[in-house]
Amino acid sequence: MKAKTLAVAVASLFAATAMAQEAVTVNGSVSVGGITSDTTDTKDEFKLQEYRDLKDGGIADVNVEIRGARQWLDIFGENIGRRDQYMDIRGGYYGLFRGRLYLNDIIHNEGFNLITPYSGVGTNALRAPVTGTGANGTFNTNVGTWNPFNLGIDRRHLGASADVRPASSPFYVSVEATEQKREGVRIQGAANGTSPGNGFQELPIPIDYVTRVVAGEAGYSSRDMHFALNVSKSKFTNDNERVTWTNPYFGGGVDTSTYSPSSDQTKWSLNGLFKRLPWDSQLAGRFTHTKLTDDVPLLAGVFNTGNTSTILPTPANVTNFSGENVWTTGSLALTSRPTRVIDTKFYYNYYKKENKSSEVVFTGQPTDSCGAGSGTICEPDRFDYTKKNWGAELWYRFAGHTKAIAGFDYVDLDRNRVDFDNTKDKKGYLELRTDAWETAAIRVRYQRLQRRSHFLEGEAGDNANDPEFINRFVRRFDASNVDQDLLKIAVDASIMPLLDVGAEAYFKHNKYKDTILGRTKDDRQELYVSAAYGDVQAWRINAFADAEYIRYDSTHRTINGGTCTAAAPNCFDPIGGTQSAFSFNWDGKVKERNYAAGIAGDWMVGPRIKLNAAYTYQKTEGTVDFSFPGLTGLTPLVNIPNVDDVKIHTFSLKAVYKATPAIDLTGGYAYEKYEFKDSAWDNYANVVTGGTPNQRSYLTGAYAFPDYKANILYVMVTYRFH
Amino acid sequence: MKIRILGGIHALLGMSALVAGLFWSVDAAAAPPGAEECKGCHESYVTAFQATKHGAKANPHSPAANGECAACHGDGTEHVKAGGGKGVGGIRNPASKSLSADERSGICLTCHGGDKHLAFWDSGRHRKNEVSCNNCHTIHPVTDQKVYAQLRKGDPVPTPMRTTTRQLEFEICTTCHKQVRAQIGKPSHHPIIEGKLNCSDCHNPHGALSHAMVKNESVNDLCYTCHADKRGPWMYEHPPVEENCLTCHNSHGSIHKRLLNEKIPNLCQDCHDWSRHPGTAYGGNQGFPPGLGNTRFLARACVNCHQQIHGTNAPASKGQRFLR
Repeated sequence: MKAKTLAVAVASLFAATAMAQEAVTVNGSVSVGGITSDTTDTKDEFKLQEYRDLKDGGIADVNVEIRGARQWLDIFGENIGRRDQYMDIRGGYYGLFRGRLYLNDIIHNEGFNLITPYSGVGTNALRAPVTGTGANGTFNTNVGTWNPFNLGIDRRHLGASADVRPASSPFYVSVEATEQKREGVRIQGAANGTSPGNGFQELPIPIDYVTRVVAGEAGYSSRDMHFALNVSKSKFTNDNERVTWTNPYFGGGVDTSTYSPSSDQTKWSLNGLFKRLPWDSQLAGRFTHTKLTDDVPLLAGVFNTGNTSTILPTPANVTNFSGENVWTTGSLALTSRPTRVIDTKFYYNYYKKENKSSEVVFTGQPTDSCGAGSGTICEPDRFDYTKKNWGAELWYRFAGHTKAIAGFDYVDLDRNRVDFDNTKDKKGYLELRTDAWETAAIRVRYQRLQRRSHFLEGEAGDNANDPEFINRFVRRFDASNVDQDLLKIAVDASIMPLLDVGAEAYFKHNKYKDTILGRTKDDRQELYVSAAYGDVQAWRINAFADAEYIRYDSTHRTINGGTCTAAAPNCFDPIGGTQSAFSFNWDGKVKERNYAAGIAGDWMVGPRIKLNAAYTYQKTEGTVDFSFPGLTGLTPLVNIPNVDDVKIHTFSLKAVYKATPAIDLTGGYAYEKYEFKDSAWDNYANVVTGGTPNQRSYLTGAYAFPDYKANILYVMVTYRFH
Repeated sequence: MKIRILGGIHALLGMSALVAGLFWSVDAAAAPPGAEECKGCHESYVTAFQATKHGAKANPHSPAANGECAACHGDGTEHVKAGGGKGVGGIRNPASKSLSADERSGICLTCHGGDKHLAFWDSGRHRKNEVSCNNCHTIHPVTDQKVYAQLRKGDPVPTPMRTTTRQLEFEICTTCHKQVRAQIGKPSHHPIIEGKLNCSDCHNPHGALSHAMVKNESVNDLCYTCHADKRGPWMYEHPPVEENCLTCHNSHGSIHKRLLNEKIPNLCQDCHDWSRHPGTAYGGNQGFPPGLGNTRFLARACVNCHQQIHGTNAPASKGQRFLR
């Protein structure tokens, strides 16, 4: 506070001296008021206040523009003193300098009054007493005595920047410094045991992140060319790289989870541009080099599966993991206009990620194996990839405001992944756009993407009784062969005076043609319509309506027990293996239907009163349907009837009354209702029993009760000065 | 709250005074007269123009210092002689639909062509898609709202009530990008409609060499600027995560938590099939009791246990399976 006071005093002295020397105009406004919200019958209002601070209290805004003959200063502050406050100050000296200071507080509320059996929320040591021993070990299941806490993150983003560019000089220098600080609590899951099915914990871990970035750029920018060299240093600090917690499964011993490592990043970039080349061409290029490092001591041990608190060492060849990722990128683009009716663009992009981190080798313990068998050695893969992308686009202008665009894009991606080591994407597209009619513009685009990948696991596993054998059939959709068709149609029209309408439609189909297990296809059909009607000076209405239909189809194979039996041999073969209750193929069809509509209006009721109202409605419905082709006699799996089903109503009304030329009175009311239903969250309970007491899961209530109903009122008085 | 408000006001005053003090100590030049002839007929436009940085005569780059109205509208001598009228006397309206997008932008680029922010305008999608400066910016903003970069004032926007009074960028961008308009309003979204993030925090609307004109070389580089906790380096990496955040997330919004493209476990199972639980079908009867209480399905499903899905430095199997 002393430093802040000193800054104000010194700066005020400068300001007062300076302003005394010249004529200055000051325009702006100051607003003060209050807000209150009622959320009766709402269990947890986190979704209402996810990004908005609507707690009862005062509101203060300020907006000032100061203009001197050669200097300018804009001061803006919003929700001052509240958790979502925003301040932005920009100033400059014409023809020489421009600067900015800003503060943006972003809240992300994710739960109020949640509960946990752990004490020490907000610290990196979460502890809970365990009663009983061995398989009978349990936390206190009387949730009424658990510890309350709020879940969420407060992010403060502070920044300052300055640009110096003398008038008539093409040279400039820019500097920027930012700090992003995040504080709060986040839920992190952790499995109780080392093999599945032993329950899990929701750990309310502390978040204390700081990211500081300093960047500088020097460049030359004119109408003919542009060059810039940029250097930035980024330092991320996490005060809680490890959190220890009581694990009831392992006899109440103290377990450890690892979280984001503190890291340092240095980035160099050089970009340049030559304009006014032959054929009205421009050649643009960019090169970047980024190095990211961290250094993390390895955990010396892990729990065993013997249901004791013994910690087994995890022998590794190094004591620390020294991470180092290096990215090198390059881009080149040539745009030309060889004739009045033709535009072209040719481009090439290169992107390479090298992983130069420590080579770590764990000599696996029999009870902490890394692979399918026990006692194996495990060595983390160091993921590298190189992406080369080139393409060309051609625009042709027909007479009468009509244009055709054809393009081709090629991506060749090499990676050291276990399933696909190379992917080649070929994308072609054709677009026709016209605003030949005075009152309408139409755009139609068709795009075809074909991705072909080199699959490495065609010979995985010794035989169909080997669990690895199934990998011969799994194709992960992000890299597998796919044929994609995309059609996009957009229309914008002014169909009568003061009425504008627009519509966009998307039809997208992905066919993962060689996939046996995994996502086999997905479809999207989307329609977005909007309309605006009215006169800016009197009243206006803006409305929209959206509909989306999305579907994902996938095929999977269940193998219960993990190994094949004599009665169900070759169980890891989805094509030739047996179809039985023990091992069988199943299909999933995920369907989503989303609808939204909204209308908003401005109305100048009279010379002194302005009304603004808005209403929105949104409904989402999801389902998953299962089928078991070729399998009979199995009790059908119950389809999932509700997948993230949400209904949202929002209504707001705002009135501004100009009481005097200098004073505005603003009053506002809002009503919001949020309903959520999901089969995975129905009948939510804080304690989920397992086979034995030590396999219980203890949940905090996070995200479980997003439903809310809220009435919000606010009033403000605004004083304007000139 | 009181302390917070006082602290905020104090900080605001401090920052304001700091900027004012540091850069206000240069002698001012006398302001020359304004575009009085034009004001005679076009008072509201000229008044609005004069209140902007374009109207600052002391700025050697401003239209006010470079011919005033004529800098953009052309020589109005004949227009005045003829007594005015739309297009009369060769007067030019830079927002006229009779001009092509390039012609409209060209008027602005006469002065702004050397701006570093616009260096890649010709390489960007907006120019190719016939977007011109006046589609997003208004040169004579007749508004009492805070409008940076002279953004156009949008239509009343149907959104939930928000606690900001600023004109927000998304109101302009979503005029054309209707799919994005739908996405940013979904139950899981970045705080864009709340005014805490802007489209231009991620995209450069004035052109960039990157796909979708994102501000960094790749989507991941962009995401890490805010989500540095996800950047690692990790001992155990999840390859799709390292390659592209958008494999699992939709940065604009989703109906699923955490902006996921699909709900877990379905999303995870689209890639992971093996013995036991990765390939097991989890049905609607496996939620909380009286359902079967399957911990791979209820609540957050897979991430109930495999939480460190973006990467981890935990050893051996704990790291390999993203458990710790």
